[in-house]
Amino acid sequence: MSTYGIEIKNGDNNVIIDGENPQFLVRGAGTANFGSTAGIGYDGTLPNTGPGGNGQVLGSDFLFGAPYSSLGFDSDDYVHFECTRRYGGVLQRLIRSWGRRESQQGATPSPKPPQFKWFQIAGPNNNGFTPPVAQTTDYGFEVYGYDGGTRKTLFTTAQLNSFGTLQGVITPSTYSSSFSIGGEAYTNAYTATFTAPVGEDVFDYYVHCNSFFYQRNPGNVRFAIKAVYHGQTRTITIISTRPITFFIGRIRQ
Amino acid sequence: MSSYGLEIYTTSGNIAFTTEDNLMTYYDQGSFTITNGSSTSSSISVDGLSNSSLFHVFVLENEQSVFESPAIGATTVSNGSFTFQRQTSSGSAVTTGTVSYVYTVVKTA
Repeated sequence: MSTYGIEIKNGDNNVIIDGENPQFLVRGAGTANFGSTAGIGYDGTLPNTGPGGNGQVLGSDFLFGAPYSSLGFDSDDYVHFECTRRYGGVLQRLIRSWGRRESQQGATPSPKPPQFKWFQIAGPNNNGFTPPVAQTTDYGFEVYGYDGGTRKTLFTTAQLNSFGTLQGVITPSTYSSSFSIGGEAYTNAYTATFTAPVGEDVFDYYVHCNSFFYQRNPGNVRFAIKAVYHGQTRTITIISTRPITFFIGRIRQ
Repeated sequence: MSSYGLEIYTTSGNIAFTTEDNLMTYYDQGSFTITNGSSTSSSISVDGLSNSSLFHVFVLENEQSVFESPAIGATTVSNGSFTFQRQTSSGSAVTTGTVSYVYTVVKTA
């Protein structure tokens, strides 16, 4: 906690903006097709990150997503939300992509989401994410900090056209030796359920998928980290091999 | 809408967030290695870190063979630092092999 500068707290009396630590700003957002590359990487390679030191993924980012279909999903559907990590052998880079890698992990249970809505947040000034530069026509406010004598932007409203907020922090802690949902079974699974408020569409809630790692031999599900959306009960069921923390977020635009 | 506090608007005039929201603050990121014969990392310093449920440490394995998959293990947080113990999926300590990891520390509100 700083002895000087700015400090803004929320209704829970917890700091949401201060003069020492960067806020997460939206790096990118959009709609992506099943199997396409997830998120926006660094413009170039990141030294000393990722396999072989050529990380493609923007460091310290959090990538949120939700299954999406322009036709919508039936309320009783169980829609599987997955995010795959793979290694680009040619470019020697880590690549994230939306959905299951079906050639190795088997078909996605119906209804297979044709697309995903997503947004990506990152701390400014870290790993190549330069926050928008204020222009003379801008208004609002900026928060600066110093690191090693260099001014850092911790928060800015410059060109602010979207913002990610947290709606839940959950850790799967209910253990089951065999857990079944949406037509698939998982062994040694930890689960937790997020329920959207009454009147809300659960598909407007995004799960952060940095920690997703789906591993499966066809016909023999070994373990998985993923989420299953169910509109009828407004629930997102997180399935994890171990009790790992997951964030539920929304984007305001 | 709150009757007090702060509201931040987007360029289109819509609310981006208010002081009723939960936001994430970036604290630190870095890498560490656990060497063959050890199960637990050295103590990793993070300014401002404390043993609070608001802090979250995300650890990924930084090895080509696992594509930076989430590391299976347990993180122990104390004031100003944390350690990570690699484990099997059933929670037993693992000491075999030298593995590098990357981590990100955030604080929620």
